[in-house]
Amino acid sequence: MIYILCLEKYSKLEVKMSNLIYTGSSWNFDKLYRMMDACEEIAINDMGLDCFPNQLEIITVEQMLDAYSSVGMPLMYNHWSFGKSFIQNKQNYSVGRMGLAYELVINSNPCINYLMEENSMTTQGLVIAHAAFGHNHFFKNNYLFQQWTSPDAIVDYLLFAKKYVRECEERYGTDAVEETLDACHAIQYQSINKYKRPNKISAREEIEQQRTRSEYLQSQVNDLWRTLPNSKKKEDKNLLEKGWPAEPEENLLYFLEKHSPILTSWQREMCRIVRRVAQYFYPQYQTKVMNEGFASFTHHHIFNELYNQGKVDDGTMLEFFKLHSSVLYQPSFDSPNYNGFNPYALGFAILKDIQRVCTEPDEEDKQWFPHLADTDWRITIKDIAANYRDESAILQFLGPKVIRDQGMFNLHDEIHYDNYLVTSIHNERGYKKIRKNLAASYETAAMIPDIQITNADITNTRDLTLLHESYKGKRLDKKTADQVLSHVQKLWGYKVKLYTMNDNTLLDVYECKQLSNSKVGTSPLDDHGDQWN
Amino acid sequence: MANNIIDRRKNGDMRNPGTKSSGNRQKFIKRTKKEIRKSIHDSLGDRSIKGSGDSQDVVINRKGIDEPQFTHNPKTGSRDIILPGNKDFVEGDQLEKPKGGPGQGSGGDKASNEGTGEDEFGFALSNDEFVNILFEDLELPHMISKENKAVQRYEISRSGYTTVGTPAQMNLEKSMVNSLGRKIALKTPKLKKIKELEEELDNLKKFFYKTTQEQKDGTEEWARYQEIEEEIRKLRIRANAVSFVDPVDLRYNNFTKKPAPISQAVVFFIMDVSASMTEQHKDLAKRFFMLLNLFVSRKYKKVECVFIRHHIQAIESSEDEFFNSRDNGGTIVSSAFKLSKEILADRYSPNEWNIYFAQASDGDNWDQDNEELLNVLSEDILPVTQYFSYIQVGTKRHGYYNSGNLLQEYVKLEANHKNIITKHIEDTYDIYPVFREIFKIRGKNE
Repeated sequence: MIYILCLEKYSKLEVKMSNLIYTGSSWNFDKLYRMMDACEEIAINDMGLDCFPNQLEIITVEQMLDAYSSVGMPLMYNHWSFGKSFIQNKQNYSVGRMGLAYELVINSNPCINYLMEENSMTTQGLVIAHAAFGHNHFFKNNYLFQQWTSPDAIVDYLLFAKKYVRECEERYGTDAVEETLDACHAIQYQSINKYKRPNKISAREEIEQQRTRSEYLQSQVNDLWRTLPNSKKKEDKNLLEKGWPAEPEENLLYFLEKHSPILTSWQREMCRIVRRVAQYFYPQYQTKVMNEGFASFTHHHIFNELYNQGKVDDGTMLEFFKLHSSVLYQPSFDSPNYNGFNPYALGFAILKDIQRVCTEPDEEDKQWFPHLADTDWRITIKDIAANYRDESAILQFLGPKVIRDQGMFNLHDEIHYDNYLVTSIHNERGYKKIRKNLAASYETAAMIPDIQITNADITNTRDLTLLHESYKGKRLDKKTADQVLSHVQKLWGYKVKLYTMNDNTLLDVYECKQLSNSKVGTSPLDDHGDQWN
Repeated sequence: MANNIIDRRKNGDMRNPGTKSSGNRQKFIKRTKKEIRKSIHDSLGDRSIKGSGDSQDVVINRKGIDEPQFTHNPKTGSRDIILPGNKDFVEGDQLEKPKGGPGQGSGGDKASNEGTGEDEFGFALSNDEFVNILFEDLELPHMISKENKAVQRYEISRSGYTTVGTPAQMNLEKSMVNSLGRKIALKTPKLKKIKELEEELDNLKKFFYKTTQEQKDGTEEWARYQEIEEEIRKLRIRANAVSFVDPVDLRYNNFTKKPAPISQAVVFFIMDVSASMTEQHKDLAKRFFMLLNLFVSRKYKKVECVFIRHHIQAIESSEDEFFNSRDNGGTIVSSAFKLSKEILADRYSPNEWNIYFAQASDGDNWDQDNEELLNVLSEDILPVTQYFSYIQVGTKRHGYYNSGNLLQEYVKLEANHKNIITKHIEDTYDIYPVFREIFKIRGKNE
C-alpha cells in the first residue's frame, strides 16, 4: 500500500517536474531566458503590462558598486564625487555593513536591467519580474516619466556629456572643470523645471545644437551686460524700475547658464549637463514609493501565478517569500533599524490593499473607495501606476486597513515644546489626518528646499538675489547654505544674497562675506580673447 | 518584444561599468592627496609598512570633499511625522524628545560605528597607492651618472626591425603585414586585368551566340577570342604564383647594444646590534631600515643594498638575517666601516657606483675606537660617498643623549664633510619625519 502511494506521488511529481522552468539554485543563461519568457507571458497576457524591450546585463559585484556610484547610470561623466561614493560603497560593502541591491534598472529604451552574478536563480527571477516588468512598465507609463524623461536618448546624451567633460578637461585643465562641476552639483536640486516641460531632442541634435548654442549664448550674455549706453533707453528704464528677471526663476543653473556675466561657453555647457541630468532624476524621487510598490506588486503577482501554473516548485517559493519579506521589511519606529518608511513595503501594501478593495470589498472599503469597489483590479492598479506620484497616490489610495496594519500614528513636533504630541492614531478620527500628513511628507518641497532667483541687479551692482520660500517655517541649515552660496557666487561672479521668507516674514539672510578671488571664469566683459576659440 | 541577455562580466568596452570608477577614484585620491599625506604622516608610527599585501586604511578630514546642498535644518519649523508600529499610544500622549535635537532614534550625535567621527572619512588605499604617496617627493640625493671609460658597459635594447635575423627573433606580425601588402600589390593588377578580359570575352560570346564553328573560324573576333582565353590562362598562372610568404616579407626584431651610462648605486645599511641596543632601540632602527629598504626597492631599479650588522665584529648578512637575527656583545663601530671599505674595494668601485651609507646606532662605542672610527670615515668612506646618514636612536634626557656620544663625534665630521647628515630618533613617531628630512628632494645647488 505504502509502495503504491509513494509511486503515485512520484509520478505526480514527474508530471509537475516537466512543467518547471528550473530547479536548483544556480542560474544559467538558458534558465534566464526561460524565466524571462515565463514572466513576460504573465506580465503581458495576464496583467496587460506595456513595457520597453528588456536588456538584461550580467555584472559582477565590483560592477554593481560601480553602477551605484555613478547614480545608477550605465555611463556618466567623470567627477571625483563619484569616486568618493565608490570608495564609500566599497568600504561599506567589504566590511559587511551594506548589502547590495539585487537589481538596478535604468529608465532607457531598451530598458537595461543589471543582474549580479552572485544571485541565485530565484533571486534572478525575482529581479526579472520586479525590474524588467514592474519598473519597466512604470517607466514607460507613468505620466511623470513620460513628460520629463526621454528614455530613447538618455544613454546617448550621457555619452555626449562624458565626452564633452573629458574634452574640456584636456583643453581647460581638470582643476577648472572640477571646480565648475562642484559648483553646479551644489545647486543641482534647485535646477529643475517643476512645471515647464523640457523639449525632447535626440542626442545628435543635442551635439549639433551645442556648437551653435555656445556662440549664441555668449552673444546674448554680452548684449545683456552691455556697458555702453544703449539706444533702447526706454527698456533700460523699465528694467530698472521693475527689476529683472520679471518672473522668479526656479531653475538656478538654467538662469546661470543663460545669464551669468562671467562664465565661458564651456562652463555654460557644464551647467546645462548637470541640470539635464538632475532633471532626468526628478520623476524618480517623486515616485519612489509607487515605483517600488508597483514593481513589488508585479513580482509578487508573477511568482504566485508561476506557482499556480506549476512552473516553479515549493523550494523556489520558499526562497521567494524569504527574499520578498526581507525586501519588504518595515521596522517599527522604535527599532534601531528604523529609517523612515520602506518605500517597497508602503507601496506594496497600498497596491495590495487596493487589489483587495477591487475584488472583495467590505463595508468600510465601499465607504472609502466607492468608485473602486468591484472594478477590475488590473485596470485600477495600472491606472494608479500611470497617473499618480507618491504624494497624490498616498492621498488617494492609502486605506484605513493599511494604516491599521502598520499601526501608523501622527506625532506632532512643535519646535518650542519639550515633548512630542501624539495627535492621531489608527482609528476613525485619525485615518484621514494620517493619510494627509503622510502624503504631505512626500511633497517635493518637504524634501528639497524651494529656492528661486528673484532679482539680478544688472544695471548697477550686479548683485544676485535668491529667495527661499520656507516650507512650514523650516529654515536652512546655515553651514551648508553658506557653502552652497559661495558656489553660486563662483558661477555668478558677483555678490549673491539669499533670503528665507515664511509667509512674508523674513526669517534669515545669507550673504557671502567675501567674494572669492577664484571665480571659475573670466568675465567676457573684461576679456574677449579666450572664449571664442 | 525583443528581450536580450548580455554578459557584461568580461568585456572591457566603454559601457562596461567595471572599468568606470577607477578614473573617478584616482580623481578623488588626487583631490585629497594633501589630506591623505597628512593622515599617513600622522599615523605612521602605528602602522606596519610592508612592500606588498594588505591595503592600508587612511582616515582623512571631510572638509575638502564636502558636497554641500541646500538642506533643511531639522531643528526648525513645526512638523507632523507619521510613524509606523504604534503599540499603545492614544491621542494626547506625550513623548519626550530625545536629547541633542529632534532627530529620531539615534539622535543628533553621529559618532558613528565606522570608528571615524562625523568630520572624518575613512577608506582603504591599496598598498601601491600608499607607498607611492609615501615616497612621492623623496630621492637618494646627489645621484650622478658615472661612466667608466675603462669598463664599457652595454645595454641591450629593442631598436626597430631588420631584414636579417634568426628565426627565433622573427616578428610574425610585421612579416605577415608585409606579406599581405605584397600579395595585394602583386595580385590585384592581374586580377583586374582578368576581369576586364572576362568582360570582353562575355561580349564576344554574345557575338558568337548560335554560330557554328565554321562560321567562327577565320574571323578576326574568333582570333581575338582565343587570344583572350590564352591570356587569361597565363594571368591566372601568374596570379597564383604569388607566394604566400616570400623571404622579402620577413622582418626580425632588432636588438642593439648601446654603451650604457651608469647611474647605479649601492646603499650600505649599517646597524648596531650590540648589547647596549635595547629592544626598543633595535625596533626603532629596524623600522627605519625597513622604510629605507622599501623606499630604495620601490623607487630605484638599479640600486643594490649591502647589509652589515656589527657589535665588536662586523658581519655582512642577507636582508633576511639583517632584519631578523639576534646578536649581542660589545661595540666597535669602526669594524663595520673597515668591512665596508673591503666590500667597496672588492665590488663597488666609486668610479662606477654612487655610494650611500645609512647607519643606525644607540651612539655607544668603545671609547678607544672613536678616533679610529673618525679616521676611517674621513679618510676612506666619506670622500667616496654621495651621502652618509647617521641615525641615533634612543631617548634624549636633559638635552643629552641617554646613550652614547657617537652623535657628537659625527657632528665634528659635518664641519669638513658636506655629505653627512645626522639625526636623532626618539620614538616611532619620529621615524617618518626624519626619513623625509634625510631624503627630501633638494635643489641642485644644495
